[in-house]
Amino acid sequence: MVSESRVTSAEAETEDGVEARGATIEEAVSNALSQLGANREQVEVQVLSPESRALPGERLSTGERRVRVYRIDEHAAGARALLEELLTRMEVPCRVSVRRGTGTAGSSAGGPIILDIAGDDLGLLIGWRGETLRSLQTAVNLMLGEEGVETRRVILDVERYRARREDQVRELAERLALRVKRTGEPYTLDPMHAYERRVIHMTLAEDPDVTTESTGREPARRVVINPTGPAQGGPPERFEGARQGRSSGRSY
Amino acid sequence: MTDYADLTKFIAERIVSNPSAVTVDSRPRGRSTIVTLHVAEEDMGKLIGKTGRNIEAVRAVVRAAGLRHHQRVQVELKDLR
Repeated sequence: MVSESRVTSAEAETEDGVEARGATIEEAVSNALSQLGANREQVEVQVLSPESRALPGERLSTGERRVRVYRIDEHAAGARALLEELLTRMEVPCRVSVRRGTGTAGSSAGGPIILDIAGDDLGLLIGWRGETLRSLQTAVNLMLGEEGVETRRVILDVERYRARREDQVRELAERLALRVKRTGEPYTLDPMHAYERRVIHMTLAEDPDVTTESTGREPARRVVINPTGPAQGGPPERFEGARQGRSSGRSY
Repeated sequence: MTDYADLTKFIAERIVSNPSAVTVDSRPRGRSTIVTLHVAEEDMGKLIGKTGRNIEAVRAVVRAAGLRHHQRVQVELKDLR
């Protein structure tokens, strides 16, 4: 696989892994691996010049494929391999990568391992409001048998669904906090999952004008945003009345 | 075509402490596929989980695999008692 004659001089090792070139992605990866002294299972590959970006019919100049290869820890590698096998058995064509900045670079302390699943038409892995994604995550963690070991937990994301949803919840929290300040009335949100409620609490933790609390029982537990002072008045928020995520209607 | 029984077995074997005792069986029921899962008695609690959380996760994963082929797949855990 490694074609010795083609090893270029344009390889650079940084603390963030090594960057290497080759005539093909495969060759660039091989070059990086021999430099790191690692095998394919121990690394995460980031393609810097994807072959797919070439236009149809475009002549590709050789020696132009660039990749960056990072060493990942054993646990992340094992988790990725397991998830890949599970998804292969589910016949879901996709790629699994270890998200950068978490548990990489052989950090012994580690944090949760975040695995990103990328591919086309992965809605079935997400499900309604991420239900299926959460189930897949539960199953993978059970299969890895690391129950209760918080730092070694595996978090799954599909095409940054989680990240996008978190942004939405954060925006919602900020918008509703403005409303609570203006009206001086508490606002009760729709039932949410624990991790989404947590995002609301965290978003508004620093705001001295409101406090947040969760009330009710699972699965109907909701966040209430309370004002700490009297109504401040002011114009209504521009997005007032926007729906909370996909739920219908507002809850009071 | 996905072999749902195989998929269920693959998942269950990695969750339980006694993987050799895991057996699966699948059969059609109407328009659905029913996968019957059997594990050692001492592994029932682990597989079911608190308030059925674990078995529900397994079911959701197998169900998602069925969705690809527009098929309904149901995983039933065989009760030994």
